[in-house]
Amino acid sequence: MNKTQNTIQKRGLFGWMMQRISGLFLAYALVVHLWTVNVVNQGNLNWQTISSRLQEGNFWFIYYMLFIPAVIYHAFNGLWSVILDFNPSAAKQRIIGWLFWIGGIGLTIYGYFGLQPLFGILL
Amino acid sequence: MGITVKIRRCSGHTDDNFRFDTFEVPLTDNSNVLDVVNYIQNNLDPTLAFRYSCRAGMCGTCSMRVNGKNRWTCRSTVKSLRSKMLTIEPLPHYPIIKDLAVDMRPFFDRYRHVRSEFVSKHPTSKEFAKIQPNSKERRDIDPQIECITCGCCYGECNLVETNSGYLGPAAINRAFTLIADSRDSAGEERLDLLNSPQGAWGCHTQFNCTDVCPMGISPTRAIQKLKRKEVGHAFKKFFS
Repeated sequence: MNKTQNTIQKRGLFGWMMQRISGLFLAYALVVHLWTVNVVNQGNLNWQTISSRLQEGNFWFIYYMLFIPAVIYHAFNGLWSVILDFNPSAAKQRIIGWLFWIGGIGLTIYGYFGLQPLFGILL
Repeated sequence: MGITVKIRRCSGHTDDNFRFDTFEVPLTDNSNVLDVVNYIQNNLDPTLAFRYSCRAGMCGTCSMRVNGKNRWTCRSTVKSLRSKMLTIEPLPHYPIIKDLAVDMRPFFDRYRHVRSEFVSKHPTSKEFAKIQPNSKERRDIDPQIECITCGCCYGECNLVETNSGYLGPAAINRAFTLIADSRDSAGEERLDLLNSPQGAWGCHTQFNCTDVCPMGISPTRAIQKLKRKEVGHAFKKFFS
């Protein structure tokens, strides 16, 4: 087995582990979301309340900084698994893989830009 | 009492001109599918090829695809299939030798590839290993250990079809039982071998193997546990 084959053949462990880590974080994020919406902010959801809540401290900043890449990684990695079930050729896998990485990174950046005004950050 | 039986016939794996022959077979209350094909060969068509050995659900030799599902035919009664017609085909994913007889070499080659033999840590020791029946090790291994290598899971697994190098559920299940065995010394070698898309990561948890295993084993369970062991092994290697 040469080095390239070795690298290719080892693929799988990282994706499997990260899918579970991101999934666990999203389960936690879901609980935080439901609690915040239904218990903390009962019927008072508008731009001002959300923005002021997000500017309260570092918790929400870290929460969203992690939430955006976690949800995007989890979604694209799940889609990748579905696509592998259809057994695309190696060339198609490479193209789809690159599209997913570019799409994922692009969406992450877009998500961070969307959060800026809520955090009161103006560039 | 009788049943209509359709059997897929061909003269080999490269024979594209396969056909289905239809037979009318008399039944008794306890007839199983192996009795049916035996009756056809003995009374209706002596050229029908199939394979069996123990007739007692121990050897796994008589596996065939019956009504769209891989089964051990010696233990599958016709009555339990609740069908007025039987369609019998060879196991998928194996080269066909003739009719219902398949070449099991791809299955056993993969089985050997994962070092399916026990490699003792203390080959010269005459002491018995003391492993408690309720220990985690035994609880991990026990549900996976009764495999009779019938090949039903390999024939049912979609990943075997789509990933040509995939080792298949039975081989990985066997490797898991040895990796989990504290008396075995080749566990790390097997973990390295199975850390690939052809090994543990090739399984997409479709549960087809679990669905068809006549012994009630869940190779999917073993593979999921193996994936966890692979992560632990990778961390151990990284930090050592």
